[in-house]
Amino acid sequence: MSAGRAARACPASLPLATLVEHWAGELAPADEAAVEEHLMACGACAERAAWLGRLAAATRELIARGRVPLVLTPALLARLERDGVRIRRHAVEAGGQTRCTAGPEDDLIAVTLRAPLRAGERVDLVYLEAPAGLDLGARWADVPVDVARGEVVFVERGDAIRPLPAGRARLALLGVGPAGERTIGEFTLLHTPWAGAAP
Amino acid sequence: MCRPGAARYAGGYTGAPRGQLRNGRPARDTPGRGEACYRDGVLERREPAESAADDAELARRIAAGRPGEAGAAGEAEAELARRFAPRIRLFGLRRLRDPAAAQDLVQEVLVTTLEALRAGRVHEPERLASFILGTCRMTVANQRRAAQRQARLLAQFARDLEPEPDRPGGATLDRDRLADCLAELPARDRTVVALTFYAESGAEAIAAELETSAGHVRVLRHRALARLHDCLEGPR
Repeated sequence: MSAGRAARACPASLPLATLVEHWAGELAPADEAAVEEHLMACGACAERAAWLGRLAAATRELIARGRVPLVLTPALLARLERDGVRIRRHAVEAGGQTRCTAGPEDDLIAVTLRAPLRAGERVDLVYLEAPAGLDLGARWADVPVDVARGEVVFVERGDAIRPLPAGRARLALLGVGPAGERTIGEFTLLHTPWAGAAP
Repeated sequence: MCRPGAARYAGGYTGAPRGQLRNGRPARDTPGRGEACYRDGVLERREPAESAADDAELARRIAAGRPGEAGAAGEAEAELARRFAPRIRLFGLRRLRDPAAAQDLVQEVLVTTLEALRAGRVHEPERLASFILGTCRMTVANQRRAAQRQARLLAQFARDLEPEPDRPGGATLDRDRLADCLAELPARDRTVVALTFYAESGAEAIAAELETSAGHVRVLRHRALARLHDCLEGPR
């Protein structure tokens, strides 16, 4: 949170949660006015709020450039497409497989996993097998899901997928509850390097 | 900690500086300097870091000088710009969501404030911050209309534009480190951060998307941002 000119410490600084709600426009009008007054009068708190603004700008930039692996929601997908982020989409049913690739212009590779999901159940996404050379990371715990559509949509960076050799990735969605885990579905992605646009 | 027994903040300063100028004084029912904090779900008044006396002294030094002259008044003008420019920009960024418009706001508000101080039209120097905030509110209404027009054009060419620096002359966030920090967040937290900052969705809208409550979204959001702060600002 360092900035050019150090501000005097605030003896009663605003909590981060309040600054976030202020940034998001969620405060009641009177509270918003009070926070604005404080931020205009207090350099230390203004500096912390400015850090939040820089974080927002930098996060937007990274996401728009396809540098953040994400589980998507309809609002995020719509915003990405509105911003011109190039997304190649693949979809696969539980128990099934699909061919996939990453084109030279693709910012993001979106994969829709379709399976019967239960409302209220925590869902984890796990890579069971991945092509050599790709660090797919750990288990994605408690991913956002669309229960009504029976879908989980996640994206990987295009520049992470593009250099992969031909290979197979296997994923699973796991339902996690007090009684343990259940496999909701397994999915196979057959990756091939980009071979040019289809004729 | 908030002061024990502090009264709930019932409202902020709402008068525009133009009204102050017309009446010669700010409205009597406006509160003092901005002070706010939450305790037990209630927003309470708090003392800001800088004292009103600091601001008042600054205002008096500017008022006593001549425009653009060197010496005490010139130094005071420079100090006013250093002190308030980041806060005005923050106000503009939050309201306008546009760095260029926010920078325009900084210049316009500082010029308006300096002119008012030099002309002796700021009658309560100890309320300088409130005067500047009122000027911000008045100016941003005009800026917003202009920004909306610009946004329609910019949307067509957004991908060809280099990103704005985070803050001219100020600190920037390390993009590579932020990418790593975001990747370390739990998937749901990462989605909440993306919905907050990228889709610009509020807690209610995010809750609808994630089929949960707004309160739960606020918890996730706060946890994620605290982790990002620790990750970005902590030791490598």
